[in-house]
Amino acid sequence: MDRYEGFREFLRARQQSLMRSSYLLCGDPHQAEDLLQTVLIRVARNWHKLAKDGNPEAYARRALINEHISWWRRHRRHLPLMGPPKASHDPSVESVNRLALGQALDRLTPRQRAVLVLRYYEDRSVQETAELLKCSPGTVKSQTSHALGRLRVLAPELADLLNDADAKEAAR
Amino acid sequence: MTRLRAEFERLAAEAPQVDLTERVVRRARRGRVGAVGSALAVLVVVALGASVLTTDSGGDTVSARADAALPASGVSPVSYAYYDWCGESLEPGKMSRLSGLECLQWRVVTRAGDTFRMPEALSVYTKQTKSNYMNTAAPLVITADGSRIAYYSERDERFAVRDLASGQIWLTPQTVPIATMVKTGGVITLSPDGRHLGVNVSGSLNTVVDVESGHALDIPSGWWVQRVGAGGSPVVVSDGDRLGSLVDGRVIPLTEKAWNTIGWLAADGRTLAYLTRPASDDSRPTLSESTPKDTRIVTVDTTTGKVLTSSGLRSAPERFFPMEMGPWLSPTEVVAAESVAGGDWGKTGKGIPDIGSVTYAINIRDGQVRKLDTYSFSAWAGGLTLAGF
Repeated sequence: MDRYEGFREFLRARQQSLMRSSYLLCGDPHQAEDLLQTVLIRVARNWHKLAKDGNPEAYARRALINEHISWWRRHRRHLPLMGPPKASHDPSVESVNRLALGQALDRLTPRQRAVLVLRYYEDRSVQETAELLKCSPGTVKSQTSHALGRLRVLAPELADLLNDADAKEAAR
Repeated sequence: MTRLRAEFERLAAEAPQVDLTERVVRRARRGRVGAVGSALAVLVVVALGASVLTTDSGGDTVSARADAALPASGVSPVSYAYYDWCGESLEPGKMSRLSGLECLQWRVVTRAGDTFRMPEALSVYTKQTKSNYMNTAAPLVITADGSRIAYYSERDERFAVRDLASGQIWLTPQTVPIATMVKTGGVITLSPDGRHLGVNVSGSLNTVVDVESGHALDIPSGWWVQRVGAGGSPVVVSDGDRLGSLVDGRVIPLTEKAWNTIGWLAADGRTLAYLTRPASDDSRPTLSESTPKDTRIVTVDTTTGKVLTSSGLRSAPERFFPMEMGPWLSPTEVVAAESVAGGDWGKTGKGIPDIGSVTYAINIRDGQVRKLDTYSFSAWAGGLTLAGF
């Protein structure tokens, strides 16, 4: 029996979604690919167990977050962004907001970045985010507030966008 | 959906399409051995502090370890490559005793931290003569995305481009004897897509080769290729004092005479960044005479020759003098690199010196300089190539 039975199918179905999250966490396509590959190798090695009684995707997403934060600590000073300019950097075709958001995200701490990706991209609740980040719901709320505040300082042009997010947050 | 969510969605849509399936399964199958290897690679990086390479506790240089040879395919993007003469001090004319040692070979280091020897790429010239001591090693360059490497293949006596993921290797149609490389050296540059290789071997070869088709574009005499855009255009050349753009076989000068450090083309494929210092009428400023005040960061449109931005440098280190430029970090910042120890290179009173590069980001609009990273290793002699430089 192939010990990776079902793993290939899982990957083909979910890797692009995971890649998008990885990309949002890293902000660099090559780092995102490396991060995802590292995490998926771990998923593969635990596939037998995960396929039987676990949720492989949840495991992978949790590992992405943890590994991202861990990588950032280990490699930040050693592996600068050496990739080519992102295709999105052509201002003639680029949304100003998207460009500003991408650049501002690059200047957040990994936990601040992760909390925004989880809350506003993956649309996770405070409770789910707290479980993924292994912290209290209160910490998630304060991290979210700090991260949004930092974005306001780093990218004032995003004010409308962030106010919109604030209103939604208050309604939750 | 909030507007913030919508922007996140758009950002996420920029993530590259990947299929990691077989690569992941292959690496997972390596099992525990691979896992231990990866952990070791990470430990090395962690233990290095500000250095990416260093000596271990026993005092042997990293190259004394037997890294695996580059796998035939499936290699993830490379971050940099280096060689260190097996940790030996360089004595031109007396290095042939090292011929054939694996530790002489180029080591390529992936973004994930794996290190591989690259046996097929000629590294140092062990038979170099004393009189030609500045020409110590064959060139190796890496595309900015780390996916392709160009090098000189001693076995084939040709330049080669290798795609790391597929393992495919393309050789240039032209041969260059090893004796010529040892005598005159060679300079190469690789387009960002890794398809067009610029080669200049003095008196022998001066061309841009589309390695996938074999088509070659000769460079007019007196100029040599510096940069090639993705798709083979534009071709930026230099005559040593001026930069120019090769159009229909003719060079259109882009600059006056100056001491230029040439950068890369921006994402638009036509904007070129470079650092420039004035050329003296009788002699150029030396490293010790030059100051950051003499240097400007300039961008020029290679299709029209129009200068787009020009700024003096701000917040640069006292003796800032980058000799290399790399990729664009963003629409407004380019990367430049200078030697780790600057003018102190080779001072050995404090034991084995550190060599390598320090990278800086330079803002093309206001000239603001900020330090990025240090790539250094302890060795008496060696070389380092960063991806995209």
